Amino acid sequence: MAHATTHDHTHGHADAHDHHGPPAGITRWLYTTNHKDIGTMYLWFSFAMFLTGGVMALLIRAELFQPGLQIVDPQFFNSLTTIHGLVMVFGAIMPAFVGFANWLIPMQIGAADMAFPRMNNWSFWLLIPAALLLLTSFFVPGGAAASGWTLYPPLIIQQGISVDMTILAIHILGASSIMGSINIITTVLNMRAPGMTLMKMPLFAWTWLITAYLLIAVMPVLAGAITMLLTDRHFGTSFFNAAGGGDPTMFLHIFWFFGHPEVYIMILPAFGIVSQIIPAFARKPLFGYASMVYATASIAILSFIVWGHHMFTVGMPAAGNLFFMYATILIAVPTGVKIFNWLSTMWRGSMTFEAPMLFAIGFIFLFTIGGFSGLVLAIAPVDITLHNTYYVVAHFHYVLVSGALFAIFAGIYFWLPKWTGHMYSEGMAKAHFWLSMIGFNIAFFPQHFLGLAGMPRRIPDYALQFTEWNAISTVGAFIFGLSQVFFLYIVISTIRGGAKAAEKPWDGADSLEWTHLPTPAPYHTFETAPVVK
Amino acid sequence: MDRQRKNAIVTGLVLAAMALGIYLVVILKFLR
Repeated sequence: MAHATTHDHTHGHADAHDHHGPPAGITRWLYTTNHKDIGTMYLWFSFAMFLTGGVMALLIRAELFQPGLQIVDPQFFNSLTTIHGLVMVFGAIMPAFVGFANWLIPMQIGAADMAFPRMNNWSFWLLIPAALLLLTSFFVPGGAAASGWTLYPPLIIQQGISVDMTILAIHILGASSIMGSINIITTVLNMRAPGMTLMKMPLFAWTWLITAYLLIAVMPVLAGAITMLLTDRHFGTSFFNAAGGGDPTMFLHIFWFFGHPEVYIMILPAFGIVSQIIPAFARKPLFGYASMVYATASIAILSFIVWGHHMFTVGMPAAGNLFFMYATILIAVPTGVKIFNWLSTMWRGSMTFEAPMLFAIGFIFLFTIGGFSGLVLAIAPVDITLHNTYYVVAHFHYVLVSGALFAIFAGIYFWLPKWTGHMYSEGMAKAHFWLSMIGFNIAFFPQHFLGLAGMPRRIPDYALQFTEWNAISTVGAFIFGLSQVFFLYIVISTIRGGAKAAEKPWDGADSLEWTHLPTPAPYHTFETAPVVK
Repeated sequence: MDRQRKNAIVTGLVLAAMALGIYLVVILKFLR
């Protein structure tokens, strides 16, 4: 399907790796249809967005270091929280996992490339104008969208042109995600090597297959919701405008019908990465492979019937609140299966604790804390007091930072030798882990206390009794933020040099990219499909 | 066109139709 048909004869045939080498210069990246190049671009884009969103987070935390207004005005503060959320969700976490998918899925299933390489290129390059629209919206009159990343009406209908830029950016990002998902599903369903049955696929490919279906199901829902916002703003409709007979609450229902599966879109690939790393460093096969697949599918299906837990306070009937409460608590069952399987994989394993394993274990530990605070918030009467407090902020940062992001770090350290041919510095990577671990917990654990004490989110000022924990949280945020600059240094120094990586640096790694391909992975892989026994 | 390419194109088109269909259903559902 995605066969490389061009042969670069100028390099000769002596070196099989250079035989199909990439073109030189900028055109390599602009016109590339190579899944590895596109994966690399996704990962770098995601890291750039991560740093951009991180600077916004640090501005937010700097403002909250002390009560009163010190650094930013309230409108700008609200724009910061809004764009920080959008940038991190759509610009950092999602593209990072698409980057992993591009790099790994063809190699893991024994395919030559993605099914639609040109569409793959287009999926990536759409991200650039979308990011520019989102970020430049700070500089238009009225400042960037300030409604929070959830874009709730009626507030969002009243703001200026920056909201239109945001809506357009999200439409473009959504189109990119849908095209990426179509590519991933088609690749997995049609391009597996002979013998690579679905139930032999590595967990990462499985979790992405399910995630891609989630994306195709819910990104159009978000697109529909924001298209309706746009027509409410400019074309005289009243979908969500009460003055015209519309219903602002309806936006919440539609948004969270997208929003809750979106949470799993950001965590299922993380589960996949962790499910590959734990067995590799425990030197045992993954415990309960089939149950992992079924648990992933169960989480994905359940994610469609729990959206109401984001809106317990809007005045749904008690029966509705109860339904969403029980359905949400039910998700703990398949999630618990996963945690149990990871722990059972480690049980009596011959474990070592290199950086990928440290981040994977950190993931299990902290994601479980985030899961438990999620259970607390799932209880409708409790949520009514905790809604819109810092408890919620603490909860979703435990899930998305020490969940999704730690898994991304784990995956990068795990596959960096395969990608670059160089070994990262283990000492520096461990330092990065501990700085991140300590900084993260200092930043976000106190936010549970702030939330329980009643501190509202998205407000630039607060009552005096919240001062101490806010100051501590800000110190943690800066430790965490600066340690990511250190991470950048580690990655760049690994790419530029460092010790040569062994062909298979991790004893227990058993997927095709480790067992059937040299390190570093050649530019084109599997032009002849491997046979999987 | 080989069989794998045909299958891939059909799969891609079905998925794209799904996405477009969901988008239209969401908007049309609330259009009164």
